[in-house]
Amino acid sequence: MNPELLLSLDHPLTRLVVGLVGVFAFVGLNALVLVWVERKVAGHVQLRPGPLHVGPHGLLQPLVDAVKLIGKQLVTPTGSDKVLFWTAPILAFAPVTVCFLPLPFDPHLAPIRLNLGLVLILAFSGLGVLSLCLAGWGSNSKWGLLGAARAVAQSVAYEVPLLLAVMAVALTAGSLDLYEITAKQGGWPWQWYGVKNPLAFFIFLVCAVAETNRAPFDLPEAESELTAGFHTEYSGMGFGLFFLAEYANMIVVSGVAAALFLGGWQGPFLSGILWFLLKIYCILFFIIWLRWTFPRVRFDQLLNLSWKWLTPLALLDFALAVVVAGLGG
Amino acid sequence: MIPAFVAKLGAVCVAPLDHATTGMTLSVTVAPEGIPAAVTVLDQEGFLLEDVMASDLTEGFEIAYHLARLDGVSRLVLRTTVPHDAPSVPSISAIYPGADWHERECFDFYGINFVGHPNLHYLLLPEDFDGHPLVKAEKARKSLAELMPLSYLVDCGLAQPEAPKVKPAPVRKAAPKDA
Amino acid sequence: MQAFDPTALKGDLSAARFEPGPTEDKLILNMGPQHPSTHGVLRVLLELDGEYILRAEPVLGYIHRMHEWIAEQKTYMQFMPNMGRVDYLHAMAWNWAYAGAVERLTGLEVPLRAEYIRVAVTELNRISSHLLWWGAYLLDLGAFTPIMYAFEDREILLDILQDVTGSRLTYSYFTFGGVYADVPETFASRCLAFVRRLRSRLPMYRDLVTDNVILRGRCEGIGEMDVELARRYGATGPMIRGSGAPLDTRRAEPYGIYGSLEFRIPTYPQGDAMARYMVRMDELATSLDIIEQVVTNLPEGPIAAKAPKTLKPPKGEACFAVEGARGKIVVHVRSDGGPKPYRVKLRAPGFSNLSVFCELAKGTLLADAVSILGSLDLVIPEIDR
Repeated sequence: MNPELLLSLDHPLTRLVVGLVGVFAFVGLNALVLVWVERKVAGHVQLRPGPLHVGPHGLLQPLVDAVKLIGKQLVTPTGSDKVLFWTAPILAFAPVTVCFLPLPFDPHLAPIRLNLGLVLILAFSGLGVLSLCLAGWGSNSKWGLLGAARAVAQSVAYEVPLLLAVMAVALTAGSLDLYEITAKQGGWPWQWYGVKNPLAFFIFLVCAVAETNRAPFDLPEAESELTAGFHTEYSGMGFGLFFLAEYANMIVVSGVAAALFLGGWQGPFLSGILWFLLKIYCILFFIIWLRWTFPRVRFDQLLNLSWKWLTPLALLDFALAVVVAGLGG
Repeated sequence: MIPAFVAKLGAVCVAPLDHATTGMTLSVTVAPEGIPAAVTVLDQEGFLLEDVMASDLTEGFEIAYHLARLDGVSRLVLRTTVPHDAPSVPSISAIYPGADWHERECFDFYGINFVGHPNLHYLLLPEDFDGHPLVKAEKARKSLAELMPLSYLVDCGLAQPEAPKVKPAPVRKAAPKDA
Repeated sequence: MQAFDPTALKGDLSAARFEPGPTEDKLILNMGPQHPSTHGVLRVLLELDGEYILRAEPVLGYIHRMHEWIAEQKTYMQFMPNMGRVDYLHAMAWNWAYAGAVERLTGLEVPLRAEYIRVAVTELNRISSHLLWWGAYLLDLGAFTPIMYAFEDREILLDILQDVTGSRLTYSYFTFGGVYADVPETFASRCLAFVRRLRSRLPMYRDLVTDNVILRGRCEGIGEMDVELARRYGATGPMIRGSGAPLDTRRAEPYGIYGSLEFRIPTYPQGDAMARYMVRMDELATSLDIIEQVVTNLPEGPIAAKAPKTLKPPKGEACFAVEGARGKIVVHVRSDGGPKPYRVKLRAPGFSNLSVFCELAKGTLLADAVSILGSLDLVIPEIDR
């Protein structure tokens, strides 16, 4: 092994390690920023300023909150299964970080080119449900149990139309590599798959909001019904990890949406990572906006929506994509 | 004007009341055993059960059922008195389900036993409470004569109407002495 | 049924008495007394089959303060502040009911100016109660924003009432024979400005919230009841008006000057949570109409009849019914001629409204139970007194 090659970024292992470090840094920083954005948007939607005093315009608020959460006592409820209880938050957070690797930030900054990037993301985000299940069961609390049961049913229901919508786009692009799918689109809106296949875009967005347990689909943690659902019994950093995982998940699905439907890093001019980040933040803003506007759907209405409406529509969309691809290709 | 159905209530005493000064239109007193039958009649007449309350008098616990018509001003008070040492009255929760909680509240405060009530436990007071707070001390109790106006007592045959006051004959002024 | 054995307790006496159903597959859940949606310290014992409610039983008494015993220890005027604490959201109505009962006993006549002021402040209080109900109901359903908008409107209202009474929430403004203090000169103009402002906001609330498809899905067809059920349980107010019967104490048993005012009684026939929601939203408009009529025609004159400092009503009994935000409030007073009441009975509308919950919640989902509880508009201190 050539040591100088190892130190340069041409070596795949170095690239991967640097990429992972970069990903962790990105996730951490973005989660903090996202917390601030959420609280500010929430505030302004509710006709109040949001965090204002800690740092200029409250910018240091998330940092201070993180310090507060770390400083809190970690309480394990009596009778809970300690292994399950403490595995759950770690299991919530760890897989999501892996999902950042295949995201096409910029063609020159790819830590690793995976030709099955899309499958990797879908597989690892499925692990998130397991963590909700463990959290609810391991808490030894009836509220947690109800939250966990709801989370599993919801996740399973919304995986199907999500996969179908993603498959429709992958079929049109002819690849499961996010970099290639992005490259097939152009910088201008009419070249995006979101405009060419708006049904898939709509279905993906709805399923993404449901998969990340965001309002109006936040039943597993429905505050006003289940006290706090699956994370009722968590305090301090345990809760912090769930919180962080939720935001990381949001960024992942926004990244996938930007790559699949909004042309990724491509822009009308100066294509690059900035365009990708801009598009991610637009989708994130939209998701946050939804949370503070709508009430929560009821559980059976949620499942009805998925099985009776989104799945047939997604199947239809997939069939159309097959036909179009067959005719075109 | 006493409505026709009042005759079916088996009343011991019927006293019309003035709504402007008391807020009620009619007071009907029945014996404790006659409560379910009277309430059934009122249920068929379409009354709404507002309230079941009790008061501690020297004669015993007076339980009052307040019923009101859905249309218009008509509040009927159905009263019955049960003795202190055996406060027992049939429950009406089978006829008016809303009476369930009202009767439990009367039990909480006075210890009145509603016979046939499905769930007669403390409602507002703690489950392991002992006693009934609104029961008055012996010497603090008042009787109906000290609590109700004369017109009501007369209607219920508990007092005699006041004899109309007779103005004394005017005293003739002594004729001025002749100068 | 097994004999009740207190040594074998698991949980407390209420939970022990709430026996599980025939099969062992059911979940017994304690909703409250600390729960974000039970609006105060209400505890509901639920037997669930998955998410379906088989039985629901409210447990009361967590904020029971024995107001009726306090009444027997205090003079008539000393008990007036307690009325604000019974239902803190519509304190003026309870004030009125108690003052009205004592005035009936004593034969005091309230001057015209005081009657107008009483109507104005009670309707303002009703609006603030309904706004809070609306915000809290939507908070239960998961929408975090409308409560902020409702509270913004409420702040203006509370400022008006603070200038009149000195309090923001637990008013003790009524006195026997009138009101305690006169309204400031700016009262009429501020009320009218508020009326204009809220009238302009109501269409926005309707478009953003009432017509929202998710809200309709959460409220329509939930907790259906008919007039017969309401009558047998004694449920009044929006509960019975949302089931089709236009029963409003202000029209049925007019008190004060309501007999001479023009206002609409909103009634909806469906009997579900959406109907009750619409009744309360329409009542906001009705209250605005009443305030407008009353405040523009405020007559001059004294604000209270002359009454002795320590009132000793002649012996007798009287009751006074008032239409509160939650239903019919009746205060029943028995006097023995002394300075302290012999018996005061507070008839809280929420008490009867909550007793219907057991029937309404059977067979519904847990989320629907939350929606039904919200549509009952409960204030637990009123229920527990």
